[in-house]
Amino acid sequence: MTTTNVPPLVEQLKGGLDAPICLTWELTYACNLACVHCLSSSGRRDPKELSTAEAISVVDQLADLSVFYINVGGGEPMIRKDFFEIIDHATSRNVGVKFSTNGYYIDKPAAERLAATDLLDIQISLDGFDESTNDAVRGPGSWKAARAAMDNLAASNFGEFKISIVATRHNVDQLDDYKRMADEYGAQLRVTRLRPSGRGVDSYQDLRLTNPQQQQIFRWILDHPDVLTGDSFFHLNALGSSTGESLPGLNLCGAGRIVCLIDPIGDVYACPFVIHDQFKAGNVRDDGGFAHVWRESELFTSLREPDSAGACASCGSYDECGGGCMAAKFFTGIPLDGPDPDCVLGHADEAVAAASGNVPAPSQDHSRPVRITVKQ
Amino acid sequence: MRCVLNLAVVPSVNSTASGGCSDDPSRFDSTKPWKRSAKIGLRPEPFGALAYHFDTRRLVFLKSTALVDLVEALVEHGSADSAIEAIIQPADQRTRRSHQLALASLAEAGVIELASPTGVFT
Repeated sequence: MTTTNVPPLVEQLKGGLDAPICLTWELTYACNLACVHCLSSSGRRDPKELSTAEAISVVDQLADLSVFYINVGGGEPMIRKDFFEIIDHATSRNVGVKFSTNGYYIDKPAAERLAATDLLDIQISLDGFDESTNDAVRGPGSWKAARAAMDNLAASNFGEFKISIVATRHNVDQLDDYKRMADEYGAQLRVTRLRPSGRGVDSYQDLRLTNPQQQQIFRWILDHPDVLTGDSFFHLNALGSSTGESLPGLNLCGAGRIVCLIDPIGDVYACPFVIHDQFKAGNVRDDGGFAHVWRESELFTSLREPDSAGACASCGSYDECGGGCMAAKFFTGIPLDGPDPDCVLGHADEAVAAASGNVPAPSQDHSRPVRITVKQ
Repeated sequence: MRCVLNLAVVPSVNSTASGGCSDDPSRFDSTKPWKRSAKIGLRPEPFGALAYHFDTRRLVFLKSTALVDLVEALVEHGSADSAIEAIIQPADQRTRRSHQLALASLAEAGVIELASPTGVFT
């Protein structure tokens, strides 16, 4: 038995794996909605979108790498006419599919088809318990559509679908109501962190949790261990420094180490929240395909090197929060070895103020043009 | 925004990680025959292996290559104990016990299951 002198698991994961544990695959930038916090600035289909044959090839590559499941999103993935063809191919190759949708296209026949598919999980996005809170973020009609999709899934005996919430300052007080709703549907709740990515750059200041709300959600998550969080709140762990409390999960930034993102045109990014040229590792259309990008890209290799605590080195809570989220820092103009903009100890306030007006320009945007009516 | 990960970390030998591990030997009978569950996908990694349970959607880390060898060899042995003797060749009782506990936590996570003729967990 030679298990001595082996670095702790988390340290090994930081050094990267031969293939990601799971990855996010945005199937299309096309979307019928225009959520104000959309991390991929979706709206218009990209003409360079992967074809059906290319998408099937990506599935095969992931299956060959034993990627256990993919998080499918967009845009709205069900807009793709070959949506079912792609996910059916994935599940037939034992690659599980967890897909995120706004629910518009889950009518009764679609719900029944989804219910008949093995290895499939569905997340319906709902960013307000009530219609006005949700529609302010996701657009008019989106609450009704999401609830109709949930009703259709329940009527089709889909089983335990997921209700997915991005925590904002307007819905954080509704989590108990959400939990009741999920229980009534026999659904599972997922609450994830808002990031200042994509169109979220513009809405972040209006939607982000206040610091008292961050403390509130830290406690709420600890009190509800059955609620999924996608490991997205690890920056809050500094709140548990004195009590030894810690949110469940690995509590590390997995970008380029154990997760990544494939975007609709095949570009591979370090994580779903950093769709920006600076975090682009390559493209699945390149020679060697996805595996080559994952294993050989300069960017991913550098992300697997040991972290520097940087400006956080003198903080006693760095071991708990790890400096927080790379994407959140990048899009708020904070150096990557600086504090998370939502640092619960307030260590980022100066850095955020210093970076004000100096945030990186987006390198892509698929938002639909806004029609402005000019009165004559 | 969407899920990146939802992980279950099952501790194994020489691990002090918390969570997932059953220290209750009554739930795992190492004198019985066990096998890797058919519902499990196993992917070798430098540290051991990743196991994914396709029913529960739980991801489990097998934190040593020896433990992976042990899990794969279970089916060839009449009991978990005999598999431990053959594969691990424990030098002392502590090593033997740590592997029994590792298998107990893997049984709890559904990575391994009883290989009795009925296949029923009793």
